[in-house]
Amino acid sequence: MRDGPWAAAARRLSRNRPALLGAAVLLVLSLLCVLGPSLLGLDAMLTSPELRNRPPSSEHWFGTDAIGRDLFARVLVGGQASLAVGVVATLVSVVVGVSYGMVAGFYGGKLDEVMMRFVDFMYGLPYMFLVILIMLLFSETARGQMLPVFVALGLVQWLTMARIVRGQVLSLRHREFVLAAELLGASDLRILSRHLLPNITGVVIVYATLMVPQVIILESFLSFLGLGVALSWGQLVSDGIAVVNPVRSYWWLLVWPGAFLGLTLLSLNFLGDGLRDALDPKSRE
Amino acid sequence: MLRSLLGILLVFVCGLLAVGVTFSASSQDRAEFAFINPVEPRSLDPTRINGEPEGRVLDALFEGLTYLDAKSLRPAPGMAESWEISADGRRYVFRIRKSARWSDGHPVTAHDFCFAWRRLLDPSLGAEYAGVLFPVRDAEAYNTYASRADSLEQPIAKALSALGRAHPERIPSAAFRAFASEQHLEAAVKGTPNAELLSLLKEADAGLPSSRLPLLSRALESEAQRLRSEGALAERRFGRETGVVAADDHTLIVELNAPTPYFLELTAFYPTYPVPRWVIERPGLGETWFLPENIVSNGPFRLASWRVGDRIRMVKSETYWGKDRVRLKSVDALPIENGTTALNMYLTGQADWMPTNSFPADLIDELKKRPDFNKGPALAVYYYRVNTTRKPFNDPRVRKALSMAIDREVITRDVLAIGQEPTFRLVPPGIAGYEPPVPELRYDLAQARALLADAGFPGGKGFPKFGILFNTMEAHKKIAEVIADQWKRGLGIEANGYNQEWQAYQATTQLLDYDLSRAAWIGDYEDPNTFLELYVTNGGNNQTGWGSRVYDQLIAAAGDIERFLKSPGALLPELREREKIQALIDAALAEQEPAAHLVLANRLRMALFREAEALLINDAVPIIPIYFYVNNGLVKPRVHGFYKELRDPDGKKRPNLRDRHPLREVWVEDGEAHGP
Repeated sequence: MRDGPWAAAARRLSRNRPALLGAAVLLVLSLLCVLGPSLLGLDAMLTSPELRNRPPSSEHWFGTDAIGRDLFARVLVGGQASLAVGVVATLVSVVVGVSYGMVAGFYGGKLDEVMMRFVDFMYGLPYMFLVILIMLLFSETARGQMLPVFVALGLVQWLTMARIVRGQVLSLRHREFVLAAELLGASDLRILSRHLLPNITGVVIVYATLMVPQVIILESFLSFLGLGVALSWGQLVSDGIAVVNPVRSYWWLLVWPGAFLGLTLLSLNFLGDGLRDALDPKSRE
Repeated sequence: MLRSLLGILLVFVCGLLAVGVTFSASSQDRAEFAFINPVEPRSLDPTRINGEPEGRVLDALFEGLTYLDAKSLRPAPGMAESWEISADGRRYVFRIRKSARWSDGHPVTAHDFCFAWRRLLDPSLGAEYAGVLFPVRDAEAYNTYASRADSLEQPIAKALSALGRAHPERIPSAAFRAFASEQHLEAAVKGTPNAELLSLLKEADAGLPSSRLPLLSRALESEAQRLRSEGALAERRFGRETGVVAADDHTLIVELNAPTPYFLELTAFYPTYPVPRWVIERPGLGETWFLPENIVSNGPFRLASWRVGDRIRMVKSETYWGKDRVRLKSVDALPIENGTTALNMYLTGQADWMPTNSFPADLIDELKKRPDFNKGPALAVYYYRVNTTRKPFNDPRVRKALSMAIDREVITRDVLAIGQEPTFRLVPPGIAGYEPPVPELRYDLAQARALLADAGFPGGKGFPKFGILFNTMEAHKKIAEVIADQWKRGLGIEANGYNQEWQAYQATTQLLDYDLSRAAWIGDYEDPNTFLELYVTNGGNNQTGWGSRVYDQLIAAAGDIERFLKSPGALLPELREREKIQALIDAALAEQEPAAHLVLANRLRMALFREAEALLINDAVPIIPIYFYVNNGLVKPRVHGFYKELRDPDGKKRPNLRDRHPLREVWVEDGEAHGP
């Protein structure tokens, strides 16, 4: 084998068309959301109620909402929030889940027993209940900000990650290279970080990529309940659904944020699938 | 094998059939008249409710001494077929109709009213609308004196002695004021006849030497004793010897503290409805007495069924005295919160009437073009409460700056777009005889910025980020977002709107756990009092923490104008229009002829209300009025007996300010099909 496992994975990924397409779409969308508003001089909060509910035009590319805010600006700024929530909450859960799972799997015994029963217990709680409890810890004026959502979603999403990591560590724990390191007198921390972590990175990356869309969906769901970020795709979709009715529908209020949300989720899923195939070739056979 | 499969199949089919039968049996046909009633009623006990949706149902099920006639919304003889009012306007003798019957056949008697009114005032029931009966003699004493005595004897006495220990030499004015507002002292000693107590309190307001403290505690103690004994006396007497008395089964005598021009409207208001004592006191029923299987009512309709989340079905009562005039055979109240669902039901003919604001606000531009869209002025105001106990909102300059930086035109013209009237006042227009004060605030960004700079926040620097609380509803959210945007651009301050469900929102505002909160008030009767009495110190619906002695005195004076005429002294120097009011007092005192005297006294009363509103909206500004509502709704053309314009018996016309359409006089004519 000439190249290392990472290069081989990259090669496998580059042959996967849907995954590449997903990655490209994600890149374009993220750039548009992050840079778009400032480059194009858009203001998502500027209200001009006299221009309310206008369909898409050259002035307002995506139309305007019920109090005359530019929908294009809102979709882009909302995208920042949705993507940020997806990424940050995933990072939170990765950090918590990986360290938790590694400690439980590595030390095993009583500690593992206690830690994993705690995870089971958390699984048993309805997660909406947990999220709402966590949201309540923040003051009312923080409602609609990103921080509570990061924390709330990050803290409920790490459970599966912890289980997966623990399983992996458990199977690697008694392999020769770990025993060799132990015999050479390496500290626990060194074994965990230098010998075990690299071996589970692939699984973690795959799982994390697939978790991002889950978190985005979850945030949209929270927005439906009025607990999410004040301006996110989920919130925009929820506002858009409110005006679907038999008399007159302002379709653009639902279609644009819905399309952006759907496209992002689809791309993330393609990319996640591709990464799984690339990093864990055995799973294909 | 085949057999057992067949057996399973058979069980499965039977199950399906059973489900199908259950569902088809449970789906009722619609009633003759069905309307959207945006919230599921909390209760159908007249003493336990305070909302419009409950009121609509209750007005159909029960009837008071009077009821509001649909064409004029003026009181007409209901359970009482006639009444006499004494020359001084303080004594009403009602003759109860001999043909009045409860739905179980019991005759309606004067005793039913005595029982119901005593129940409304019973302090242990804590009815929100107990205050409705306070014009009646001994009612307030029965309802509040015992708890006022408790608070004087327990927390206030304790806090006062703690205050004395903390300041052994002399209690400074600021400390005393803090104590008084924290302990709601003003409300506890309201209306005390004890002159010594009053002078001591006035003295303490400027700082009290500790040698005088025992005197004050003793005065408070004796006030507590007075309240307790008078409260106990009122409890014994009210409904038996005083206030409201049944002379015989068909004669009800009501004694008022002062002439109350709107009293006959109050007797048509649901808290004063009679209730069936023999049902309420039946053992084991408790809070279920008003469920369909138990309830007994005396109105034009009776409760046939109540399926939560589906409908309340009412059918015409065969025992109602005026049943010949009731034309609807059945009525459905549909508890639909979601505007889009409600609109669908209306458009597909499942509902005949959508009252104000029960449809999606976003559709107003489209709906107002429809021929069945109805609109008219309303006796209701939309405003923001400011929590005056929090910094920096305790500074009136800040509150004024906030108010002056809202461009209300944008909100009424473009956000709501039905022709609401932007306002800086509280009392909506249309109340006969009331001339509101001229607002001194107006939309003026330059002055708003200057006021904010004066208060220590030039350009909004250092102003804390704050929240705007509203109950969950699309329109409130849009308004909060537009106003927050205007404040950000106009004053450089950041506000963040957030919502709570109705129950949580009510609890939060009651606990003063907010910065700004959205509020609205719909007049209960056509008199400024229904709006202005909200802001008396510690009033149940005040919820801003604001209070003013002068304001309280103005409202109290307007509530008992004859007493004010006798001793206007202390209040007069504090008023803006004191010459005008003095002239009115002199004129009223000079007029001996009772009818003319009442007219002049009422004019004085309105002048006092005007004074109170000026204090509220121009000086203190604990609230930020935004607009006066308009009534709007959709009514099918097949529905008759809906009056947009009311006609008084003397032919004068006025708008249907409260969007009320008593069901007793509604009928439907099926010229057109049920469909859309």
